[in-house]
Amino acid sequence: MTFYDEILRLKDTDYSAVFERVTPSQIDSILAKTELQPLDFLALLSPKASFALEQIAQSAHRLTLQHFGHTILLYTPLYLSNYCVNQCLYCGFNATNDIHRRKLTLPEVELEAKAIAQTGLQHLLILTGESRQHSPVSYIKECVSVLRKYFSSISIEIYPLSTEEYAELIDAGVDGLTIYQEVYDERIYDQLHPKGPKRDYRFRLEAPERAGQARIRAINIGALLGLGEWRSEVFLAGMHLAYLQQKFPEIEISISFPRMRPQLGDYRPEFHVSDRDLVQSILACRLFMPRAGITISTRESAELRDNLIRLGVTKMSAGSSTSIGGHTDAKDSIGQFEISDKRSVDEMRQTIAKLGYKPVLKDWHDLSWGGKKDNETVSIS
Amino acid sequence: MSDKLVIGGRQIDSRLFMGTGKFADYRLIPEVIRASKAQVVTVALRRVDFGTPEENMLKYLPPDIILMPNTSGARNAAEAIRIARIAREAGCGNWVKIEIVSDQKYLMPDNFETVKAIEVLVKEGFIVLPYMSPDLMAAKRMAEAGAAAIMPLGAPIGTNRGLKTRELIQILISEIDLPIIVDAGIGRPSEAAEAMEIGAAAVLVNTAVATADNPVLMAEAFGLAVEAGRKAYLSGPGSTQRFAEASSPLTGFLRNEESEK
Amino acid sequence: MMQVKINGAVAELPDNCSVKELLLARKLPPDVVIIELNGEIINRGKWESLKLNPNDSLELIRIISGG
Repeated sequence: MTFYDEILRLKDTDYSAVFERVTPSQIDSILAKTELQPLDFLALLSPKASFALEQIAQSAHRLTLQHFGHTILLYTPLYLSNYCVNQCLYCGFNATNDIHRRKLTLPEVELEAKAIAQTGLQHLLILTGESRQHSPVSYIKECVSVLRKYFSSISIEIYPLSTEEYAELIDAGVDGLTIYQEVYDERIYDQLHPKGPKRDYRFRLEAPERAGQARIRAINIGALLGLGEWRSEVFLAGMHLAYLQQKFPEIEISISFPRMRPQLGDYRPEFHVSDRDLVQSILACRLFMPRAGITISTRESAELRDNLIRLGVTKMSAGSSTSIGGHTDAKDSIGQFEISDKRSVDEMRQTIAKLGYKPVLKDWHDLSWGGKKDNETVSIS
Repeated sequence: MSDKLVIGGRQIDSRLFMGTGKFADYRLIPEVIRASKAQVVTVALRRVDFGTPEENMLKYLPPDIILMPNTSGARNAAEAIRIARIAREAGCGNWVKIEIVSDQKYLMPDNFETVKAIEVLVKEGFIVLPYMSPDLMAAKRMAEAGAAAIMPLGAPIGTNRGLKTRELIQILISEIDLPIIVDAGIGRPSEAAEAMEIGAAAVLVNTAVATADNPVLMAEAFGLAVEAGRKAYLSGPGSTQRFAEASSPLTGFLRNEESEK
Repeated sequence: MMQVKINGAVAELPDNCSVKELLLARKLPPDVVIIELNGEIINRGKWESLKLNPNDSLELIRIISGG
């Protein structure tokens, strides 16, 4: 039994019928509940719920404070390699795109690490395109062993691995997995992934569960909003989150809401997701999954991100670059997507503090790390 | 931001009102009042009992307190009105706590008769604080009739069972624009704190103090609990919406966006 | 002697008894008592001069402790 079985079960959900039946008093009673059911979650995603957005926001705000206090965790992505064999229609790293392909050498990784660590950040997300030739697990492992010296938490956002491979990386020092299904609607998924291993919908869908079995500490999932109809996509992402929490209660789960951004290529997202829709998605998820983290990346504008801080967000990227080696030299390097919020870590910290929140740079320290390798001291000047 | 309780034009500094009934010895009363820091103190009126020597109860009360005679004994509006007038004539000031009880089993107040009494007494210039069973519509009538506050019971008189009527009291706090003073049923300082945390303007305590092994210490505990509860209320998440004027909407920034499907 | 109702009970009082005399007879300190005669509260200043009549109804009330 995997989440794929859930997807099949939910395939015939009559969203319109559910949305039709939503009433204001139903919203009221949902907001009064302490534990929401899937249908409540769906009601909060309905068009009618949009009219009660402020009310829902107040609830979500309070609930987030209750479970997370006034803290926002900051992290940054580090793109190690953009070699990719897939041809995802919506992605700047699409194998058919004529871009400069690059992969960091270990010394380059170290330079990037130093540059990032200078900012004080301790949580890192490393990304690669899918290429078992250029960025195999062994390469990623080597990078991790360099990065481990500088960061207390390393998450990976790479192609789906087997359980054993996840275990290998976890052993090397990875403690978090980020993997987006991109689009939960299987039919649309097939259309958007014409070529490459990423075509395998199910293998990708079940990746979080394999990482869970390998005892990863944290899992972050999401749908790339705009690829599919957002209400059902967010619903399925939320259900995925609930499923993972149920199956792996000890894992720290979180969800992201990446929204399609301009990127290289001809693809333009089919579904429009407004700021209001994004807010509604975040709020509904917060209420459905009170203890799940919510991440917002620099795809979104500074202004919107600042406004989202009080709406349930718990983790944000800062000082981001989506190009390879983007933290040191970004020359003629095309990023995976266009970054909207270009603020530095310091700027983010100040803004967050001004909004009455505490920016957290380090949330985790693995005491077991270093047990099998030489214990090098972390040096951050 | 000042947090003052004003009733009948008077500023009350202590949100603990103290009852003087059931004490073993009148001499405890001044100490109890001092320890509790209560400023409003209730007294009652009774027919003189020729059998027992009479002490002047009033001499046990500190000079600067606000006397709130109650109409206990009244079974209907007419009796309550009469008692209120007598109390005023006796020099007890113009505050009155209306307590109309014809149910001798539970001592539940008669909300209907209470409304009638309020109507008359308000016209005669009394500052009326009705003791009542927490019913929203009754409280609305009482407010319309001119009551200066509403005093819903937490639990039946003397039972010390705490805020059994919590949900109903919360409704009054939300809906009635008058000080809501929880009266009756509070048995422990934590219950007094609880009443204050949910937004009560004050609490009236009697039995719990009078029947404690150490009434003076218990009175002090209640005083502290009421203060703590009030501060908790003022600093809690709900209160930022009361005091931060039309609190900043969280989704106001979306205003300019057209709504989608 | 005349009959007067005091606190609901019938009592025998000397004719022309004043309120003040009544209080003295019953050993009631005046500062403790409130007097209601035939439904009307009587001002303290009038207690000495006011004479009671047969079948008057008197209520003698005092302030006691209460919650």
